[in-house]
Amino acid sequence: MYHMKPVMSATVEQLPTCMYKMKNIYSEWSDSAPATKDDLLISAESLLQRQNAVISKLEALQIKINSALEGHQSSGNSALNLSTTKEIVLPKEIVITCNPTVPARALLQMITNIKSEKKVLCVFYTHNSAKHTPCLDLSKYGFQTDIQAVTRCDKDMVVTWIWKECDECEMMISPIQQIKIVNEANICRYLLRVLGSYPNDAAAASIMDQWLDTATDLVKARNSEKTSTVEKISNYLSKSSFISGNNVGVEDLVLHSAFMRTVSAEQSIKDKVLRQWCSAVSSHLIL
Amino acid sequence: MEDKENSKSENQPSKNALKKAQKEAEKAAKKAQRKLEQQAGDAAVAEAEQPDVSAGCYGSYGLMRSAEKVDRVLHEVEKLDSTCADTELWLRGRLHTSRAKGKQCFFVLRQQQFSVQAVLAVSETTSRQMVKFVAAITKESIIDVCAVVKTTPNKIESCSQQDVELHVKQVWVASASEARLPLQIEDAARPDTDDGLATVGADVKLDNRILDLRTSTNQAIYRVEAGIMRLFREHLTKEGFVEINTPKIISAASEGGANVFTVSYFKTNAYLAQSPQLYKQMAIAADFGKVFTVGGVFRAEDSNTHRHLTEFVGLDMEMAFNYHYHEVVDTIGRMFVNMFKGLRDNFQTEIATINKQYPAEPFKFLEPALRLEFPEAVSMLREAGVEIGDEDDLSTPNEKFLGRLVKAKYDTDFYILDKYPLAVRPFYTMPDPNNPKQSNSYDMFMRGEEILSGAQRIHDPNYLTERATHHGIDIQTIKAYIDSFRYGCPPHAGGGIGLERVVMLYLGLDNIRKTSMFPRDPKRVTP
Repeated sequence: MYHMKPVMSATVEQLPTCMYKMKNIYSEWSDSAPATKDDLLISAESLLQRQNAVISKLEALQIKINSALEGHQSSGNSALNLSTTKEIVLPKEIVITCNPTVPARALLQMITNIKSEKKVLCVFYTHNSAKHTPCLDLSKYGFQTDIQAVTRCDKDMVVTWIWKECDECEMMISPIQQIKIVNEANICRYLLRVLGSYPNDAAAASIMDQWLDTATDLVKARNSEKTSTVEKISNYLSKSSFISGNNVGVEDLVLHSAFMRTVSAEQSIKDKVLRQWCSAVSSHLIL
Repeated sequence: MEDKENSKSENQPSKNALKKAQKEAEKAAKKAQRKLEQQAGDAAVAEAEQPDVSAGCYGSYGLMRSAEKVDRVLHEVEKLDSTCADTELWLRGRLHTSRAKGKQCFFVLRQQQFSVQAVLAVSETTSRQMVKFVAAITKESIIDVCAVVKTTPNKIESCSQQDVELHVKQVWVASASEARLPLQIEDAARPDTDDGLATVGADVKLDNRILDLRTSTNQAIYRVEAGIMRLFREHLTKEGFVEINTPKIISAASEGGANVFTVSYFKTNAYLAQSPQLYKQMAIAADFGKVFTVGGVFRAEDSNTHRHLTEFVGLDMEMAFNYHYHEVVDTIGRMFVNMFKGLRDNFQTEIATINKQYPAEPFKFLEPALRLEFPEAVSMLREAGVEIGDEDDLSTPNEKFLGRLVKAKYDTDFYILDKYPLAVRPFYTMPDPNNPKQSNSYDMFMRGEEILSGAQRIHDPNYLTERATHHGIDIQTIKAYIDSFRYGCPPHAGGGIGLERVVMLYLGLDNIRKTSMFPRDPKRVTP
């Protein structure tokens, strides 16, 4: 019925004598201790070949980098373009929540600036958690209560401003993943990038970053740290009328907003330079 | 005897002797016990023979037939707190629970949503008979209690009045309950999450609705419901609306035609109104300007879901506007925000009571109400990975999902969705003049569920005829509706909400039967 094959082979299996077989590392020295001249030549040649391969690879990489840089320069941007890392597009709608007692004035000013360039619908609401009445009248910033707005869909962007009991100004980026941008300075930075008005020059961008971070620091810092930061701003302002140069820039707006929030009025009065700067920036704001 | 035993054991403790001694000791102990028991019995008999010191302080009023007027102020349990400590007062309530232990009896007096603990102990003024009488009163009986309010060092967790208790002086039964209850109030009031402890099924609760409604949760729910009705009326009246009443027996179906109950009407048939819409619109055509109506609405839909009833209370409104239907959307939005604010400010106690049994996140809203447009909703859903066409209606799961997206983005449980596709709306909806695919219609949502559906109605008879023909409706069947616009009618829009559904969603409850006092669904017409 069945034709069977023998299970055991006739030949005797070679059984291992140890678990792992390894090369004897001493044998090279002990057995063939005096290496011949040919051997040495061969090893030196192979080393040379490997080194040459590495050098050629590095050269190829260099060419690639150069071509990439040239490509950017030819497209009209000088030096490193910051926005190339990932294309950020202007969102259809941004939702900003803000505490009514600490209004983000710089952000409001920025939105007003955007309004002059694009078709933007600004609406504002009050969340049921807000305990205080907002100290700013948003209709002065061109905001509407939703009811006055007739259509929403034909606008470039809708800005939804919600007065709500929260610590920091927040902007919702992804409602599904609950990703937010927290803090006024960071939201301003994001908006600048999205609008393409962030400095393209890496050096200028890092200076801008530095001032925006200073504003964040000012809000979060303890009293002892605050004085040093204020001194830093004051020192800079003694050389230049505004932080961004001769005109009021975003840095001035953001710093001013952080200033109004944290540093008490007396302290700003003490310093003449700061006082002048404050009033100069204030005159640019819609109040 | 003890000495004897001791001496024995000291001298020669043989086994037999030990056993004997043990037996003797047991015997003696039994004898002593018997004697004690007898003494106690004697004492009880003696006490029973003694005059009852509490006579006249307890008993039953018997059947109250208004024989006499009693000049007595009854206090409310709700108002009992440490400020009324050491005062003697009268209260009426139900005996919620009672526990007698020896010479003491603890019971809880419940009055609507509120309860307080009472203590009765045998003393110089309180007889054993009285404690016995109180312990025997059946649960849920209505009793009058005269007691002194005392503050307690420890909070009484099981009662709503946690800082005080009553030291009882008198107890009178006003109306006794039967001893056997079909359900225990405590069980009916228990959250579903309490593991291991008895809860009452939804059907048992509805079958014994009178008992079920006595739970503090239900007491609170129907107060919130009344509050919503009151706020609706108050706000709209303030905005210049006129309350009207519309007939519930109608000759033809007011909306569509299906889903109506037929009732025999003398020699012919009539129908139960499934919407007061036609009559609201007629009131507008009759120059009432802004009208609202509160009343029963009947839907013969055989849907057994958590949010459908065959009879519910409709809060409907219709309003003539001047130039744009957003005037109406705005008014309805304001009405809702005002309602939410009213509930938040005036019904905190009730909402807290309900949350104890049915925990829910507090209701969040924006002022003014958030208004989004349908295309925005579609793009939000698409961004989240939902496949949906431009002219598709929102399915129930999509509605819920959209509700969650809107909550995540704007942190609001209430929003208005404007500009629905024309294709998914009834024939009388006014098409959008700027976009042939859209219409001047809107839905409103609470916690992701639709609560109001409304639109600008076509007020021109010719255009209405055209739209009805387009929808394939026989013009003859809706002739009366079309004719009501023949003599000039202001442009108008409106909408209606289901009271039960609004209450359910505001409180975050999971079933509409919890917010209808005597719910009617395809499977229930009693009680």
